[in-house]
Amino acid sequence: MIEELNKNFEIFRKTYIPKLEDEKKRIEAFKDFEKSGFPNKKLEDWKFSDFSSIISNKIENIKVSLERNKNFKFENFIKDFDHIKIFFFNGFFVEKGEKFDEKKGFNYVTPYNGFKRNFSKEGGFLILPNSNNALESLNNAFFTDGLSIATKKNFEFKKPIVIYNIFEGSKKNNFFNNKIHFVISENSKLDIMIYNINIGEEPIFFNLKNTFYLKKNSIFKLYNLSDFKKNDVHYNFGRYFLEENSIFENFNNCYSGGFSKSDLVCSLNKEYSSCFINGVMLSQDQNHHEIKTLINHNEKNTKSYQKIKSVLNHSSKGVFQGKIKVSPEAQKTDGYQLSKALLLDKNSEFDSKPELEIYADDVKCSHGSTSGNLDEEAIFYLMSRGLDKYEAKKLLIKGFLTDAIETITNNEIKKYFLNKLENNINEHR
Amino acid sequence: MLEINNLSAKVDKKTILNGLSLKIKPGEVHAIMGPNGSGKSTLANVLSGKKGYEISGKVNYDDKDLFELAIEERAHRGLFLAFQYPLEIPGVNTSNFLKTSLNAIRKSNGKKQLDALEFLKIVKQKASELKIDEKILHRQLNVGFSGGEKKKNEILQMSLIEPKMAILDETDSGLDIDALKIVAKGVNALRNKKRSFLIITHYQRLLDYIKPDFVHVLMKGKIAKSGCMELAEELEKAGYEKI
Amino acid sequence: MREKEINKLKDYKYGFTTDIENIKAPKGLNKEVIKFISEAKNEPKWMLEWRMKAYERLKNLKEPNWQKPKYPKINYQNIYYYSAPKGTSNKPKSIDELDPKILETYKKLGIPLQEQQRLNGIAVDAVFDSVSVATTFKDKLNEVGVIFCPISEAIQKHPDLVKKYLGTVIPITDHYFATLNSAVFTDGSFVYIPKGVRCPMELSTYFRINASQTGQFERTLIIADEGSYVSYLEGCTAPMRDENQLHAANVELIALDDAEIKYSTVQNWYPGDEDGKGGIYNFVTKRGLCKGKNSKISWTQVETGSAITWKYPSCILRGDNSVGEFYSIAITNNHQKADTGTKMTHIGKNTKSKIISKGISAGYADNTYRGLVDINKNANNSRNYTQCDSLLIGNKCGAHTVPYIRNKNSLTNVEHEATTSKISDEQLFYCNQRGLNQEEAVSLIVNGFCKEVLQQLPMEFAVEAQKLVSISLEGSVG
Repeated sequence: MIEELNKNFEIFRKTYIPKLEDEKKRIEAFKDFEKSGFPNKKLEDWKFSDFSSIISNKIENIKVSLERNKNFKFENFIKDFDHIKIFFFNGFFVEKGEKFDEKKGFNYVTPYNGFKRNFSKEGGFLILPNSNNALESLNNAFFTDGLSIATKKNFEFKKPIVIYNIFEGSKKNNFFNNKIHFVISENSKLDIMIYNINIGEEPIFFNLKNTFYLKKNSIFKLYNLSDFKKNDVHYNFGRYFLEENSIFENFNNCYSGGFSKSDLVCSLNKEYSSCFINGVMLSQDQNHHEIKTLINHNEKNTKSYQKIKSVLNHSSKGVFQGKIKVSPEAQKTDGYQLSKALLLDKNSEFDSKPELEIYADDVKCSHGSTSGNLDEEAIFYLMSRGLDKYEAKKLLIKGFLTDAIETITNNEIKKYFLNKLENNINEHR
Repeated sequence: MLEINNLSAKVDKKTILNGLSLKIKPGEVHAIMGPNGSGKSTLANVLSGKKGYEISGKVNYDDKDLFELAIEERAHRGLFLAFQYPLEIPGVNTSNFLKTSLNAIRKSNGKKQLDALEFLKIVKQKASELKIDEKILHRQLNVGFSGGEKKKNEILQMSLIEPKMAILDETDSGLDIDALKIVAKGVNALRNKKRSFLIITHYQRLLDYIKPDFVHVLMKGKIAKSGCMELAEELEKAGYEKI
Repeated sequence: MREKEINKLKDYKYGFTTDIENIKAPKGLNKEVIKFISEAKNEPKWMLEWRMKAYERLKNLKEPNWQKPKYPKINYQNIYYYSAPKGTSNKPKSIDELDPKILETYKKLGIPLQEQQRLNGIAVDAVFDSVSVATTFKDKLNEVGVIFCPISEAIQKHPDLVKKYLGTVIPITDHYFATLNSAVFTDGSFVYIPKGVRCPMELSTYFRINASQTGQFERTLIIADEGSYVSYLEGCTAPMRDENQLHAANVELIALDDAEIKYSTVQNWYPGDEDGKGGIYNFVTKRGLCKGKNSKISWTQVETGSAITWKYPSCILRGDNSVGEFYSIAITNNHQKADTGTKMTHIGKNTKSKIISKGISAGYADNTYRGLVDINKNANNSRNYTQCDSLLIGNKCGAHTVPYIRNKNSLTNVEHEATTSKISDEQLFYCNQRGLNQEEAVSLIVNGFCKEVLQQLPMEFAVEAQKLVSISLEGSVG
């Protein structure tokens, strides 16, 4: 696999159209990756998901995406709520549908179109060297396109932005690396949904790095949804930096096929910042989902809240690794984390590692983690009220997961996700 | 017994007590009434030594400068505060706590430590006098206690410790009539020529059973009016606005 | 200077040294030293071979480095692996023959060994540096068939039992420190409870490190045969020294059908001084195998001593319906570090495990709970409940919770809860108002926090442990 990637990297360097001003950094990043290779379960962060064997089982010939194609067919937009549409097709930004203009409240740049306009003080697409995360190094070496947006100050977006990442996985095109970089400026408010879909026949590996800076008093909501197939692989590396009194809400839906890992690092850097990271997994057919969080409480009076609910069936696997770290300065921290899982068949597995690392004494931190089966008595109760066993189970699963979805504060999106859940449960055997 | 002179207290630069003066002689029962936020609980906290207040003024207790004494020293010298919200301490057996407390106070007064049996005899007797269910002795201190049980537990502690000066901080709030009677009984049983009480309350209800010698109205951090029982009745009818 | 020394002694009352002549193996780790140990113990050939196998394996192993407490590199060639008071290499036949200095030492530690002063209802095996110096109540135990003796004696007298079980729970290849122990272990206790016997008294071992530059590598093996029951206690102390001393013990427990083993530890090795100088490195491997159906192993530990504690008393729940329990209090003050917890491996059906961990951290200390609950695929209807609570006193210390939970069985319930809190100012105020001073108040609240674990200890130990909890935190509240 590494050899293949090496060939890919050579081709990439020759054919990637925008001049690679950062070529040196990319070469360095690729060397970093080569040194460590794909992460395996010997690494603490990958203990429960051996990425190295996952990727080699799922992707046969890795081929970096270089084809920029504006003419793709996609009609499957979300119709449930009004939104601003942004498209990426096979890893490249496509200006289609919505035209951006500054009146809408933001400036944007994509590296493919305007890489020379070096727009961001905060790192933006700049490649940070010596990442000790091999997949981030890989992303640094290969990233083809992305989006950088800075919202206007004091601007409140009336409708959410949906970023459609559409892929047509094929034998020629199956490896995609993007970066998304947002600055949510002071007093601004923005909701985003990242929606990943593979419409192709072949499996893909989508490696996404996203970075968000939340300035003073800003409110930012980020929702993730994927529609992937059995052999797709998705790694989502998110870093979030929160300033004074900012609020970050994140919700992760893990319904789709293949392997996905959301690796979220949230730093509460200024007082009164708070984050809410919640999610649901509904896995079947040997799918494997992982949510990994690290919340850094770096300043006093910060708050974090996490709730992850998982339902696993048909030999699927779910992992939740969540860590709350409280630095000595972060007095009066309020940290809460809850993970609950239902295992519905004998070949499924749920692993968790809820971790606290605390260096301040005046804090309130707790975590809870449970895994088990549906409550037989509850099933019995529902059946005594006339439901058959299948209906009873469905109802209980729905109730179990809805509890997490109810945490979403954007009502339109909550409704949309509840509908999605309903459909998914109906498909769930 | 207790002489408060021009006492002021601030929290975060906000003045709560503002030049309060009050004199309590041995054997007297004083009641302090006042609307929410008038500084009633602050007075109780400051007298018993809770940290976090910026204090000026002078308080003499039992011929000592009260502010020179640590919290536990005040307790050793017979100052008792029945808390408005008694604290829960998980894992600590109530009976064990009462014994530790009583023995700490006895020790400082040069009295013999009670062993487990002696203590049990006394505490059981007190509990039965006050009609308090002995079972609370075996439970964790205030953990899972109802509001009434917590307050009764405070009164039981007061009866055991037999303080010189007892301050009851809204011990009556949230109590039903039976529990209220237990509180009153606890106070009345201890009343004598040497022992003083400062009863902080929002309502006249408790005072009907205790019958204080003096009633004061606390407003905006100082005593706005003093009198006897009639003042309490007047307040109950007319409210605090007229003062 | 002298005054300082005396003050120190007040803090750690077991810090004295017994001035006694020792027989030592040459310093360092090599085949000759291992032979020396084996010969000193009159071991049969198979035992020496077993040790050598471990030694060969050790060459290929590396010290683990994943645990949180880091320590300066240990020079394994600068340690005495064997040190015994003169005249004890062949164990004295009766306690009367024992050097009076040793008797005095144990008396000072509160463990009188002489017939007339013995603790009631507790049989004691006293281990001094590398050898067991005395075992009390042996005859009485013999009457019911219980074997309680130093492991060196068991190797000679009960080779079949030792061969059958030694290294079956902790294989000699397990990990660095366990393998080191397998190569150089000196003494420790051996217990065998025959079928259907309920051991009539508490068994206990008292470990004492005395000699300087000496490591203690004891090995304990407890076998509870079908339907038997035993409660075993261990206590540990060491003199105050500026150097760090290594204690790397292996403890193996085996419970057969319907048997129960209760293992309690009160660990009070010298923790080092308040600047973190000296103290014991307590790197211990403890593992119990619930081999038979309906068997039960219960670990209780009160860890207050040692500069670094690194141990995970574990249960392998192989027998159907077997039960594993872990109750732990770990208190760290000054510069102490503790990384402790348990592994519960559920293999059999209907297996149950319970973990209650209370970590208290004060001063500059670091306290980590690290644990694994591993539910195997066929462990139907298993249950685990874990509760980890941490208490921080001051803001220079750390409290960490690192639980790993693997559930591969859908008919199983796993529950984990953890909280971190401090002693609230309101709680302290309340206690102060009732006449308790700051230290009394903290001690009361902390003992309350630890209650669920303290009440697991046998009576004789519980009182001692409560005091220890209070003493360990002295000076931590300013």
